[in-house]
Amino acid sequence: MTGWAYALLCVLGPAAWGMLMYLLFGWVQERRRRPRPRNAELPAADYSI
Amino acid sequence: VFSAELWVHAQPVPLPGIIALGIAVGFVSGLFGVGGGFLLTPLLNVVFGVPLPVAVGTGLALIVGTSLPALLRHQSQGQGELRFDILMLAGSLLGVDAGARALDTLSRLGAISMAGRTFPAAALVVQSGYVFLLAGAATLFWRQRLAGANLPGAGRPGPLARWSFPPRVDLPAVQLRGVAVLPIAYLGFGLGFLAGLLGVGGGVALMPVLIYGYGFPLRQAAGTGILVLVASAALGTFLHARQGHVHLGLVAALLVGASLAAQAGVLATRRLSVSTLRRLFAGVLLAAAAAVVWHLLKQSSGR
Repeated sequence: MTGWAYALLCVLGPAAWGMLMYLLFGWVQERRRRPRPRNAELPAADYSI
Repeated sequence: VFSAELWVHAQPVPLPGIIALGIAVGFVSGLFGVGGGFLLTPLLNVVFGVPLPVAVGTGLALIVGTSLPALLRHQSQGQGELRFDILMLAGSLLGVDAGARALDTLSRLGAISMAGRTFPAAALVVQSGYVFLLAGAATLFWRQRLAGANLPGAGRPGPLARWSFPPRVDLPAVQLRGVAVLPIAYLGFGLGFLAGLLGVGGGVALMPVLIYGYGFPLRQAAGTGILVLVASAALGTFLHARQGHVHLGLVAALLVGASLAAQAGVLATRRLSVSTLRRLFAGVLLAAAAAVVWHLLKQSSGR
């Protein structure tokens, strides 16, 4: 038998990682989906062609 | 000094191989929308020689880390029938305890003789369970009946939804009324038992029941059962960890690869022909089932 602390760590460790992944990928997805603000600076025109 | 090996119960396990396994299982779970526990736990045991109880406990800890973000995502998108989960919950927790005790008893039982051969009891029962799960999942994938495939019966009340006796419950998210409560509770017990004994989430077993048994629409079926999965995996991890059957290093190595590869798998669904890959994956599952049978026969001794 191992200690309660180790058993709790085995549950809470992966749970904390899962929570972190949810927040991280949620944030990344939100950034991708968000439209560009109306008054945002436009990218510089490219006349190279 | 960095070592490319993890020591699991005095046995070396190659770290790159474990990371590769986590990446492969995570990618598959992202691509097909399945948990992947039914593939990971047997492979840990058969390919990497991780002792069976440790493979089960470690597999459950991995499920905690991968299913929690899935639960939060489905809830935020309003997918899943939460009442169904709550009705399964108590049964599933009892089932996890029963499954973990059964594995412990089988591990202490020693050997069983069958058909002229002697098998370790725990290996015979658990690995037979894996073979059934892998072969069943392979059949479903081959017939294109999981995760996004054509589902002719989905959306109409199935035979289990029409089987009505008190106490009853309404399931508004899937538009079912007067569904019997007891079969749902027993279903939870069955899933919990699978988790405690085999270290698998049981999503592969639950999805056909929800879709064909109850007639859940696919999107609602995908979001149902995850709360039970998180709770039963957490309890199962705790119970197995108390017996020293969870290896945290192994969990960490698997979890990092699996979490990142799952996102890659989701992105890959936009670029790859998933229906072709599903048939290929069915072949991989059958090969894994054959490997488990071979491993079981290798562990046995003849007349």
